[in-house]
Amino acid sequence: MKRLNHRGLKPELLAAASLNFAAPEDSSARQEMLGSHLSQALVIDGADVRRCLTGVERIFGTATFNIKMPRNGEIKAIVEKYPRTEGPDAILMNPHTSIIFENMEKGQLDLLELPHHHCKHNHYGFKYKLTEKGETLTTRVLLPKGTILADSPNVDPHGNYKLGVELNTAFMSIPGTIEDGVVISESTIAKLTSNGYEKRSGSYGRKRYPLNLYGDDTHYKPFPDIGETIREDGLLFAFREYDDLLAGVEMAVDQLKQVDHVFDRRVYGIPRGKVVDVIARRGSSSQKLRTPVGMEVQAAKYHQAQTRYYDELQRIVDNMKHRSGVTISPRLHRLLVEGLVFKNDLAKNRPKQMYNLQELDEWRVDITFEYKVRPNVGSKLTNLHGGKGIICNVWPDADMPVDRFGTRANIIMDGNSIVKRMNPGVLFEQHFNAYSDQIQRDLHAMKEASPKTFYKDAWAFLMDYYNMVTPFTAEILTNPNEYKGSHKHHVDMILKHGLYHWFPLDSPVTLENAAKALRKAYPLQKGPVTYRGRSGRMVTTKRDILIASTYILLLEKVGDEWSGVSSTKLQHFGIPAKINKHDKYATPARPMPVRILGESEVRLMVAACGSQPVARLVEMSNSPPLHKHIVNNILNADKPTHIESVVTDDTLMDRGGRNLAFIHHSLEISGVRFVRNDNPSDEPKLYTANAEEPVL
Amino acid sequence: MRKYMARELAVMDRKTLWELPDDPQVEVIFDNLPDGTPQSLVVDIRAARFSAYCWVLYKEYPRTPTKPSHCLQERLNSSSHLKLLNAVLWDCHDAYVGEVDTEELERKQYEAFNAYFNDYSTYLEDEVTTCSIDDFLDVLEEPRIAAAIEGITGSPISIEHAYRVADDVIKDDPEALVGNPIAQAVRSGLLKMNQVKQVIIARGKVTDIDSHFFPEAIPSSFFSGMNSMLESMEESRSSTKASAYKEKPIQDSEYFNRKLQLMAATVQEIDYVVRKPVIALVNGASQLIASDITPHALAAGDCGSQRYIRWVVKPKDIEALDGKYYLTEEGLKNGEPLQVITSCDRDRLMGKVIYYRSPLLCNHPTPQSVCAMCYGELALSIPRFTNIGHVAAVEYGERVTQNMLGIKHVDFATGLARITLDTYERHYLEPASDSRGITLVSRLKPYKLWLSIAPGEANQLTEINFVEDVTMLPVGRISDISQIYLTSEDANGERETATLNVEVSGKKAHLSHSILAHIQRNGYELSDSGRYVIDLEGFDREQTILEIPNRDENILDYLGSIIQFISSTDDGKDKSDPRDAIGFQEGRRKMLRRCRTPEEALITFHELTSAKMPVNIVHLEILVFSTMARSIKDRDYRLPYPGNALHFGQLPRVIGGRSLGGAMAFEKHSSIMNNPATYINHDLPDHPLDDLLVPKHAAK
Repeated sequence: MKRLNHRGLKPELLAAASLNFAAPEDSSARQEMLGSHLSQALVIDGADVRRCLTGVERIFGTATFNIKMPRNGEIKAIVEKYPRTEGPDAILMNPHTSIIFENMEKGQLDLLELPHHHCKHNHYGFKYKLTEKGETLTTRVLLPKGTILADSPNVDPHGNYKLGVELNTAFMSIPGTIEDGVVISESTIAKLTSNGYEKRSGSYGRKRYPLNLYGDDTHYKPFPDIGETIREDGLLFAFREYDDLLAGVEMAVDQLKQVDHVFDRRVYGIPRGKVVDVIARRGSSSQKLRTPVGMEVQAAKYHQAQTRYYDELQRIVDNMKHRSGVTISPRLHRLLVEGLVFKNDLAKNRPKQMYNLQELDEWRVDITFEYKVRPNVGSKLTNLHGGKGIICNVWPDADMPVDRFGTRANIIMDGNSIVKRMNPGVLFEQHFNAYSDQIQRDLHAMKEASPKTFYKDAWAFLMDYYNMVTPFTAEILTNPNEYKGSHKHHVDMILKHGLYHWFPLDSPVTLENAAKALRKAYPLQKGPVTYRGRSGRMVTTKRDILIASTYILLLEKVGDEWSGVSSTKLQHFGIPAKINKHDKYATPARPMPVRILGESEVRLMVAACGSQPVARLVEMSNSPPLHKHIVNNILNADKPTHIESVVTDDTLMDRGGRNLAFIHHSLEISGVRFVRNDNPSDEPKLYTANAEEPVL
Repeated sequence: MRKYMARELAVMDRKTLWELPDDPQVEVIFDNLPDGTPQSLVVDIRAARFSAYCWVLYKEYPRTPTKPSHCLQERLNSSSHLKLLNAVLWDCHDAYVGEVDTEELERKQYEAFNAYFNDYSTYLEDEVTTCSIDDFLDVLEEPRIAAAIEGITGSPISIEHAYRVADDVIKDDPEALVGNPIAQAVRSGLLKMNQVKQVIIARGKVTDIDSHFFPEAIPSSFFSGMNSMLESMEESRSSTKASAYKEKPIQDSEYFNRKLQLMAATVQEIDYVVRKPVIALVNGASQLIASDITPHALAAGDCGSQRYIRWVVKPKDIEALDGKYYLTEEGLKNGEPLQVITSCDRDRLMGKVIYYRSPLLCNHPTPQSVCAMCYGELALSIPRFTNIGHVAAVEYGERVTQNMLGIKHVDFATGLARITLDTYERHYLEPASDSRGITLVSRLKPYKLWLSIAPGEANQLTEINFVEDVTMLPVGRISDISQIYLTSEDANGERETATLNVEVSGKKAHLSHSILAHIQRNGYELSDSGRYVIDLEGFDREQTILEIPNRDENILDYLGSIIQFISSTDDGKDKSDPRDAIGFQEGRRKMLRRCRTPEEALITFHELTSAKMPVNIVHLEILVFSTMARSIKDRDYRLPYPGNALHFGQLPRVIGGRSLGGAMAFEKHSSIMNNPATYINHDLPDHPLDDLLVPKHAAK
């Protein structure tokens, strides 16, 4: 086997790794990581096209969650779920559009749904961007199969898929970059911001009524309307139980706007989240409605709007069927049935709306909201070489390293990790992107120095460069059948946007040889950088440090959720319970204790601290009287964060918790009991060497 | 040249320390030796400044001697501070024997040294390092490295040569690549040379997922790029192995670790106080259990045991034996005091027989405890009241798991897998030129020769009768040989039989195609003992007779053998494996319960472990001890007293046979409840998890 002097990989055999122009230069373990990172990458606001391309980006651009015509079809109707209207009760935004088209192949009425956003994840998603066809869509238009109406915002006009963002990167050994840490600048946070979508539900009518959280004295609004934002405290709904005795107080106008955080049932969303969809359903009970008059108005508005939407769909389909006798597709049929169910027609044998096999309350409101996910300390980033890292520090832009050309770093990473991870591909990316910047700078200088011959000189210079680094680019640009633009146009584009490299995986030049050739012919200019260190001083480094862009992805692990409490909910038997959906959103944070005492943690702690303290820690969560005692002591303490001992009654300790009580009880029923032998006599039987029987 | 007293530097405030002039050479003056000889050292001010951070104990414990060995005298690396802090700590400890608490000293050093990290990352903000393509190109353009890479042809020898050059230039030559961040990082221990070689020189030999080496090494490095599909696909196997290992094997190894911890936790603590020989109650009367104890003035934490592990020290053992108290043969005869093994003893002890104190032979009155002397000097580094069984299990288990997790970092072969035969074998056999085979030495040409093989090692030999061309048969399927018997007859008719070990680096040999063809032509005979006897008359002596499989040792197989050894169970294995009939010494699977003495158990365990996982011997001793039982027959799995017959229990049975705190944290509770043996022994010492099963108050 010999080293090749050209690149001989087949992108079609490399799967996701073919997106990495430096796949041959990265270890297979890191390439595999890239594969898993791609599926974790969030759609970010500042996404841009990568500067080092392989050509596979366009293939990825075709495989998005886009909305496209499933068949050749003629658009028959476009029905908005909540058409925008004017007036005080107007719904400000349409969250969903249904397109009815005639399938030209089957002569069937079919459905294409155009939602506001896409979200297959628990939290993260993206807002659909309408294509030109989508923007101008009207009825009676024939659209061929595959026509894309809406697409991911990450697909650029040329069809390239934009996974991340180019960030100026400096590899420096500063404290924030040890152990896979990265430091980013404040302005970079905005580029990496993503969208989150979540849904919350609230039911009321029979047992509870909604509080007026979003209204005023004259308008009763239990929840925010579409287009409005969630309150600063994140509270989306609050429901209060009917109380005949206290109704006079609890249902007073002012009291209906005050949340009782102990007794009212609350549902939290994300503060400042924007509501993008509301679905209000009515229960099908034939009993007399109990919801106080006026408290149903807001929900009824959405219910009526959606009823109109289903009626409109039904009407259109009935008209078409009646007129031409066409059939309808299963997709469209399902939507129409869904409409019948929604409208809660009480005729016999009609399906009813259920939730968890229970009939709905008088009103059930589902709210979908959109919020901004801003990465922060704890968020995970990666490049396309499996070089992942966690944000450990966010620095002001002014503190980030800047070189003599004024290029300021957006992100600082560890240089030594490249050898440890065996992915020098990332250095090639930074290196060629640095050349991109340098060429742009030098072209500007050339233009200023000799404007008359500039375009000719610049073209010659670029062709030399392309021949050294990416000969296929030179071939295309010099072939009039392939490249129709002028030399001037190409040079102007580089002056404006910088140079984009195309490094196909079967290029005749390897990255190493390109770097070597460039080093001789056109050395890279570097210099020291200046940054603000931990001392607070601006310092200039003694070594030359390169700042140039690498492509960075934001991954789905965003560590911004409050999730820890010390005292958890107990289930019926008095041992810690898993939180359910109600608990999950009933407080601004998750009432889930951090799990520190699994069996392996117990083994570790027992080895270091002894068994009794650990047994007591476990007991504190599992013994309701002890738990209550501790909570009381904390609540009554002068300094709750500085308590000598949270247990002041020793008689409550060392009894074991409910968890042990169950086991001991069950075993005793079977005739088994664990006993402690606190005074073991442990009389040794004396064996002699190699004797099986004791001699004494 | 400026002079500084070490004690002055130690008490100097940090700001002043950093304001000292940046002299390339200063003289640091240390305490005089006891005979009055002055001590000083000429170092760079940077070394003196760094060392001063390690001298915090000089200030608070002024009797601590200042020594040149406390000063940085090498290139600063990732463990420099640990070496210096350690040296100061133990000198302080020795100067204040019995007056200071080692843990308190460690805390003070820890806090003081935290300042080092803070200061160095603020005072040296302009010294940050970086890494760029130009740094790699600088290394590649270094003339010796450039020539070595030029010479890479794809043969393992050429790659091995290039690796050696890389070692010489990047790691060992301080004059080369001055200021290059990659070379600097290697020399400071921040980067591993094995990784640098793969990135810069060549990827080298890689194995497939079945651990077989691909026929050719990868000549490209990551920097040059795996530009052919063949290179890329071969390299991709590393990732596949890493993926395969991180699921089920990791679960298995963590499951093993859990069992090991539950079992070993029974050995609970180090006794730093005991000063007397063991007296135990036997039938109501006090009786000296170990009669060979001579009462004499014992140091604190000394059980006084005069039973020792006999050990022949080999080169790789010193690190594992570090801290053990030992005697030489002369010392044992003359009744000399015990000495401590340190890393400096490598040359002095190499090849010698030593007798060292071991927890396996400790005379402590409570089997759950081990005296500090039998534990070794490592006892001083174990925080008080720490469960030493757990420490041993974790120290051991984490290496098992890390070996699997880190496969993507350690999957590296140094180029050429050479066959190395021992001296005795080299009288008869030699490696063939193709590096995979073994041939007969030319000296044997005049002799008539017969080759004998144990029947269990060539189970499928009869298959050669069913094919026309033996090259159609995979050699690994026909035989798996650890030993051959070579009988030679000279011109006078005198016969001599040599038993030759042909297992190379843990890989058993196979009969080659040449010898199989010879056997097919000429047949074989069976000896009285059932061995295959092959007459080599007519066999071309230039041909290979044995082949060594061209594969790397599979980490899973290796770890599996360790798990099986300590678990002492045949779980999942074919119990009718004919190799079991041969006996332990002849290839029978190694298991703790088949060992006949503690020494045998320990040495076997150490040999098994030290191949890939350096672990201090005391942890192995504790693990071996934790598997011992008083009587398997009586189902008495309590830890044995000195003098009890030797019994090693099977891991799950040991856990179930002791106090049930551990067993109830494990599995198969019903089988324990339903086993009458559970109810036989009542006087079981506590397991550390007993408090979690039956808290003391609840028990009352």
